[in-house]
Amino acid sequence: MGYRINRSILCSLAIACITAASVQAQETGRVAAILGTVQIARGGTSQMASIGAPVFAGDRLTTGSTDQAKVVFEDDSVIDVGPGTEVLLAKQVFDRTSHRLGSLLHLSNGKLRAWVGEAYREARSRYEVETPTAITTVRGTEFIVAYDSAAEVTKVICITGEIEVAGTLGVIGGRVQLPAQSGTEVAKGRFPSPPERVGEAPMRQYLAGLELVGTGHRDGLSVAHPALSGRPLTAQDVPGPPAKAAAPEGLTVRGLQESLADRLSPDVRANTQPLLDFKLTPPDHVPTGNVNVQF
Amino acid sequence: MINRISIGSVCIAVALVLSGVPARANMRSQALYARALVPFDNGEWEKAYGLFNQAVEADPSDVLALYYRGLTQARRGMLAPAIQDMEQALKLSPGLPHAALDLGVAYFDAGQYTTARAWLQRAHEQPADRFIAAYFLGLTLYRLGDYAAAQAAFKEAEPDPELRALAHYYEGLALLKLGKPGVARGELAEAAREQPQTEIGGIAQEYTRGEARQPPAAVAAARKKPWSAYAGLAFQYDSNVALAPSDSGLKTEQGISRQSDGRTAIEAGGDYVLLDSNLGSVRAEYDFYQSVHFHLTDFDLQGHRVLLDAGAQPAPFGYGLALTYDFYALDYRSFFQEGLVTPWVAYAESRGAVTQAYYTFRNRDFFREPYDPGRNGNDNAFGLRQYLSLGAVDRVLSFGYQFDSESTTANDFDYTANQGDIEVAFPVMNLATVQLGYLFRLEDYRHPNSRAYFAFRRHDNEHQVALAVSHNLTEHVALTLAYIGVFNNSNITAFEYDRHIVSGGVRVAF
Repeated sequence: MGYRINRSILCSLAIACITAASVQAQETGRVAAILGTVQIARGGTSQMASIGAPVFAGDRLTTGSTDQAKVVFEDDSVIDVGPGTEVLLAKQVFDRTSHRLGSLLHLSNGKLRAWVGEAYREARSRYEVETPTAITTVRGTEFIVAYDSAAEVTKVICITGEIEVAGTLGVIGGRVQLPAQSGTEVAKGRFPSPPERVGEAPMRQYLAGLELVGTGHRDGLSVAHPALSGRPLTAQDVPGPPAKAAAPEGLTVRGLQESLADRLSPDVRANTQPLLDFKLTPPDHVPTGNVNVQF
Repeated sequence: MINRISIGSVCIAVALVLSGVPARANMRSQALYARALVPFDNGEWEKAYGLFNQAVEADPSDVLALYYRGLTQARRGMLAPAIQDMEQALKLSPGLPHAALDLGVAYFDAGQYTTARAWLQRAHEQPADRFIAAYFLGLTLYRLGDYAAAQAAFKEAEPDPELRALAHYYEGLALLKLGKPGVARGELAEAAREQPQTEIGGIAQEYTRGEARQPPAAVAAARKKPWSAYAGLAFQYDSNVALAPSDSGLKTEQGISRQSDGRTAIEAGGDYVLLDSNLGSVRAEYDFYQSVHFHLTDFDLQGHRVLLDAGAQPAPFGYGLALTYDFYALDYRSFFQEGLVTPWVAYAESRGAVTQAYYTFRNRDFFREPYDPGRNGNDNAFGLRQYLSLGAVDRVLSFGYQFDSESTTANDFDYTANQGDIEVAFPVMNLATVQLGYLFRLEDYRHPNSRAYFAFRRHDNEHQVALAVSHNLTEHVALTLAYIGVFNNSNITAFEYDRHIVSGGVRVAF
């Protein structure tokens, strides 16, 4: 009996471990672009991220002072992580069957831009970015959250849609609704400042370091182009006497001179008027009847 | 390299912010675009294309999704849609970094060198792309035959360590074309020193050692084979098979109840290069044609053509001789035969322009009455033709003038003629090749015409319009569509006629 109990406990433990591992291994997104180097800290170890690398709930992403990254999540939200940023993917629950989505990011330094899809308009869904001084709650929008850990100030900019910003005082009140193209500031121990419209120039400043084009590498057509392979591109691209004098580009002079219509159709080329006279004349006979042929 | 990428990417980011690139894609397109970057980075072009395509569908104004769909299309070898996407992205965001360079490279790959040059010149003005744009600009100018400008462009690319050897190599080639072998040798020696392990390094090394090298094996293998063969089947509608006069009274008089018909046109043939040397080439060609009408079978035409074409293409002077023999049978009975001799000379004013002068002697011999012997005779033609490259191997414009004089056994068909024509060939978005031609011809007959009871002479003017479109289904199989319009006006109504031929078919070529 004791043996049986021990065995069932072991089985239960094993199942629990496997379940925990599978929960742990639930990928929530992927790194889509990297400029420079980006570290992902997971379970006490840290590794350099690469494009396509999976991210999981609990991962901490860190960028250097000139580095950037783009991460796309299973809920179709996207974040652009700016230089000198540390962000923890604290909670990632994507249960589409029950229309329940939950995402919580902890930004402890730097800035990020988030693109949050329509799915978060559902009542049971919640997308939040938290800094030590502010909580930003979003339902379908694009926005920037920047936290200066030295000054202990959070800046939140709403680019499109509408977001709600609250301080982390733990007291009710002091929430502000940010419409598009406006921003607020939340200092430590304070409520958010009243929303202010963000002009074009300050907006560019906020966006600086968050505009990552493509994969972050040179993706253009000159990359790995055959012209850079170290091989001659064509037979003409070798020195020495050419095998044959080359004709100008694309210009091959025709010998036989015919119009395009003649070249396209022997019926046009060969038929000569009055063809009927010819056809109405039986072989080896001179034209007769109403066929009027006179030379 | 990492530093280079980082600096380059920072430049992009800064440029994007400063240029105000509308990164305002909608949420869905942004997610799809980001998702597509992963397979794009991994070289999974089909998967990446599918996602970028969905992103563009979600938001057609998403500049980056459009641009990256273009880049992916180019990687898939679909240059025309790639160019379209990139141009559209650039239209939406004129400051889009690297787009001018990528467009220039795409046009270069498409063989559209004139357009490539314009984009690469624009890219060359961007500090971030200066060297790489200079290198591709050099290649483009080299292809266009502007060796002096190509040499200057390669020189500009040389400070970039990754381009240095290649730029020295191609600068050497440009200098050789400019007739400066001494300086060229120095440049090639630099290329050999920089990258001795590469193929161009090896070629440059051999050259500087005094061994002129043949093209590399792979390139030589890609040279055109000495023969080609084709076969085609087309269905055609011909509005005037019988060449019946336009005048309805005359038609009634001649008992013409039906003049239009459909037909099947069968063609086959091939050519073989008999000789190909430094002096020129000799090519033999044979073409067979048979039309089978649905109703007017009396007008089924069979044609056989044998052509011997010898010549040296202009560089800058060219010359040649074309000998042609045609045999035609109408209703499966001998109709006429003719021989043509066309000697020509040509001069290339530049790599994109050639002028040709030619003379054609033609002897035509009808086999049966009533044309035999009255219409048997000779024709002497003199012509000038100008060929202009429109910046790519498959974009050519040509126009010409020809004077000819026909002398026949009987008087009715003696004439002198003046004609002018223009023809253009160009591809349409990598989907099809188009040929468009127009000809205008004036014929002045020398003697009073029997159809006018010898009261006056015949004067004809003819307009020919032709359009041919060919779409390659595979490397060897193409769909062909054509329209030919012939409008012959005459001061004698018996000779006035219009003719419209519409043709659709398939052509197989090897």
